[in-house]
Amino acid sequence: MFQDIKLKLKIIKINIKNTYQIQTAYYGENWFSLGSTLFYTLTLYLFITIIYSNVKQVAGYTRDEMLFLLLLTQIGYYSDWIWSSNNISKLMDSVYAGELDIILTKPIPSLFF
Amino acid sequence: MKKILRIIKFNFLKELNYPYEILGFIFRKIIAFGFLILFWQVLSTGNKSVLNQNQIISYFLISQAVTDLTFANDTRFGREIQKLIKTGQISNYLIKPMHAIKLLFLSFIGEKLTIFIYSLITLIIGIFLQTSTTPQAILLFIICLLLTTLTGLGINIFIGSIGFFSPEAGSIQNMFNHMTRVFSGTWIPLNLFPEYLKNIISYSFFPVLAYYPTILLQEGSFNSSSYEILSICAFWSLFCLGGSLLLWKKSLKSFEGVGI
Repeated sequence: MFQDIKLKLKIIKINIKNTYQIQTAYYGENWFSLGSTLFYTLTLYLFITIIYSNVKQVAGYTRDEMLFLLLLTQIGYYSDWIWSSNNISKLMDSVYAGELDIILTKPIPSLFF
Repeated sequence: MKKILRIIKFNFLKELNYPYEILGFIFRKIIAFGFLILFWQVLSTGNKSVLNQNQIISYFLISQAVTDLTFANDTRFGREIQKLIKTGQISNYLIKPMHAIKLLFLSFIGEKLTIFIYSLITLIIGIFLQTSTTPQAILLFIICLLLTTLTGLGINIFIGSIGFFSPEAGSIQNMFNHMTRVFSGTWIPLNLFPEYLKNIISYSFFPVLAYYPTILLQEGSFNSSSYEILSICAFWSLFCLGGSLLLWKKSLKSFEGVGI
């Protein structure tokens, strides 16, 4: 059991290192990607600002409360993206490209990998 | 003409091989639209003086249809070009006996014909909900839609051409899409913007992509305001398409493709 946990921790460590190397390989892409994320948040902020320039409350929520909700949804979205949705998307891509076969032949729990 | 129709038909049949993909797309669109309407209904329930429910549903049905019909939504055509450049597959199109952009765009239309049909249906529902549509408004809308298509095509070619110069083109495209969603009026009508912001944005190309065609269909008549909107649309369609075709031509000169 401990060996299994050790193996899974090792997989997480290798995957984090590998993903970081891929992300930073294209220096500009990495920064532009961050810029894009920032832009998305700014767009939502602008959207809320424009809405509240016309109304005082939306379903009982004030502007500040809505901004707090925005913060929570952003945290939720990016947590989900890191741990779940990004991996599901990669899984679908690997099935489509035929790369999943290689993962399945490795002596590791393939779904966890 | 026969060749054009054959290209569209070929790509449409290719797309029809994946019926579940099409169903999934339509389902996704309906869900997204449902939530957008739900949000605006919640907003208009508490603020009846600001918004009219029927008008707002009609507005979003028409504006969403416009962005899909003119392929301006999410600059998908630009992304396709970027992918082809990045993978080197663009060479296959450059050696064909047809202008590459023309061939790519016709193929894209064929692939997205189901979206086109879906958008037409939503447009008709939008017009049906907007009970005060006049023949004058429909005529102005059709002219504006053509100009929007040219503007959208120009922007897509521009976004695609960035792929020749930088592998970071995907993120730049994402940034552009985020801005477009707010400033074009697909998320929020431009008339709800603060006056100073509205004045600045109304002369940019953003409202040409959704707000102007929608507003012409809802309120258009033969008056100076409509002519001003059409002039802005005409200017941006010429500027965007002309500029992006020049950029495409310049990019191709410096492109060293495999097999060319």
